[in-house]
Amino acid sequence: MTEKVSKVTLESNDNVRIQIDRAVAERSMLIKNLMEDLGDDAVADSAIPIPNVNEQVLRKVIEWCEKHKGDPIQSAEEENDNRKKTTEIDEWDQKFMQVDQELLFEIILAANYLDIKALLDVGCKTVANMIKGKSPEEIRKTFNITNDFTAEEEEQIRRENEWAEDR
Amino acid sequence: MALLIQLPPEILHNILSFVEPRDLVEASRACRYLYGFTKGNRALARDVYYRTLDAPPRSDLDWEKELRDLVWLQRICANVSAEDMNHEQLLSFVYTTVARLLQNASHSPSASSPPARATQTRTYPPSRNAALLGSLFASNATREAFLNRSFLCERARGGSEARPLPNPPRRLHQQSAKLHSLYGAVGQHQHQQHQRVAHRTRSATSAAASSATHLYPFACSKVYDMREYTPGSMWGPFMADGTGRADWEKVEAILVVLRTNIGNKGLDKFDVFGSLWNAPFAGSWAGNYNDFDNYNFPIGQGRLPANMPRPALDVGEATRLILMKIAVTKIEYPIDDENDTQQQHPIVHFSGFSRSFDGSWDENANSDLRGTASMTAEGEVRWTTFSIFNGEDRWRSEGIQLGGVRSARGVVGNWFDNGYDPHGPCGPTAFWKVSDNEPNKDGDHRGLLHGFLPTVQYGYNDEIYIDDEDFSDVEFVDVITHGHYHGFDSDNDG
Repeated sequence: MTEKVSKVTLESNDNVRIQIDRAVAERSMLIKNLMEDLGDDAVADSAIPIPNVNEQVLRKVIEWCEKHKGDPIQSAEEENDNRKKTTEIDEWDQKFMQVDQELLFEIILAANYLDIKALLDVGCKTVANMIKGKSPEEIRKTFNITNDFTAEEEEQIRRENEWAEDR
Repeated sequence: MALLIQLPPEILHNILSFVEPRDLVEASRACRYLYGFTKGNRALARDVYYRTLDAPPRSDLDWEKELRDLVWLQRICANVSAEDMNHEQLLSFVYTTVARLLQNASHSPSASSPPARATQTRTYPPSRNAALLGSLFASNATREAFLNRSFLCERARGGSEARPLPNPPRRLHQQSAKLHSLYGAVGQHQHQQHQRVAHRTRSATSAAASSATHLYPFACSKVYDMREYTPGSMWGPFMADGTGRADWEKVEAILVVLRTNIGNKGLDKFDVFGSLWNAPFAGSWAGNYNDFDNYNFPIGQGRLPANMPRPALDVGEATRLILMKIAVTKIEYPIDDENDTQQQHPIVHFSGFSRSFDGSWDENANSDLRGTASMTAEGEVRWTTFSIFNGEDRWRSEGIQLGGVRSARGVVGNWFDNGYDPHGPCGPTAFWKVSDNEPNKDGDHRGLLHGFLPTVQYGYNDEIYIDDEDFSDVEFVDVITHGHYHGFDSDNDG
């Protein structure tokens, strides 16, 4: 067994290799578990392929991990405690998430795949904030959604959502 | 380009778990996919509920219905229209929804919030439900529409026009009065008006001039009406029909009177009033008392039919703060009786003493005490106290704990002569538990008031109650008002 390696190399699905600190890579539970399973030798010798993520997105994710490498990892219990969940996003993260919608969704998908729970939540909160306070029509516009209800269905749903004495 | 609705369901779930209840409804109306995704999605509704509101005592609620009702309540409160003032079902919906939110408000004092001050008092934890409800009723129009619909409020709006009291009390009146009582801050806005109107009233010495919008004189006329003190109502804030059900319109009137007196006496500076009574749906707790002095009320209104409310009354009342210290002496568990299956809580007997609190020497404030706390068939908590002089019961009080079991809102009720003297005296009273601790035995309690009174971090709820066996040496602050006048009893021709 060699000494614990301090750098790891990731390879995006468009074949770009990026070398990063081990501590940064370990923000991803997927990579962390992978390194534990494969052993340091394997990690030291070859790049870890990240088949679902392209270079642009991977660099974005790494940027976030660099910034947050010192953060304490949430325990599963905390993760499941909805009461502690806030919708607040810290300032740095807000700026970080100021990207076009497509990239935002790709970051979310990458965070989901790489199992970086905190980044996933920041992404989801950012999208949630884009929904908040909007009318159905505004939501459609924001997310490029087509209204596929018939007029009758729309009327029925409108009624469902109206207060009535008999409910 | 990836679309929101093309994200994997677990991610969409995660996103939607961060929106507000109303956003969930709006999002479900955007397209068929989102409608199908949210409709019947208990897990999602539950996640949003837990993130938005207090963790309820039960985990088997119909989360979708809870959220839907909450969204309706928010909409109704935000868009009050003139017709709403006469809409009985709407008030009923608001009443039941608010009651449920309060019922499901956080119950455990959080260990993580230590008292803000180094005192012996408890700091009540913040409640999301209470904060939310407080914001819903922040506007005058909303309070007018739902909190000010009791007979008392209608009467205050209606001016001097005489109208008979509905008998039995109307459900709508009762529901609104209970909402008003639970909302707290009763008479807060009225209070300011009262200051102005009181001036005018006194200078004009005209009863008609007091027909302004404020409630105080009308509340006084109810609170001091000896006809309200009957065996059927147990002389307390209960329905006259002997069922032992709470009469929320009486509770409301008592709160209006006490609140005004507390304000007039400048007692607002004490946290217990500032933070418990002025904050919407805030929570504190329990004790009692009574004393009185003579106030001669001018009689001369002539004989009233038995169902007519008394004329509005604006008496100068005396208000006392009294510290009560009590300990449980006996806990009586209900006998398994077929006729009495409702009573699942024991009757708690207590005894102790009371001391004048605010510097006023008053022999009636210093006495021994005994009493009971028990449960009414409806599930309200009833407090009965007796003050004892030279070994004999002298004054008695009957009260209801605002907010039910475990509530910290205080006990509100009436005090009266233990012999049920039909000529009075009698009056309103309220008390709060302030401390579980023993300060300095028999010491000077004055000046300690600030130290004893609990603070609320804008929270509803709390702690202890009669099934809590280890309440020993509990302290209460009692506020008593006496606007005593003889002769306001049933058949006085004046």
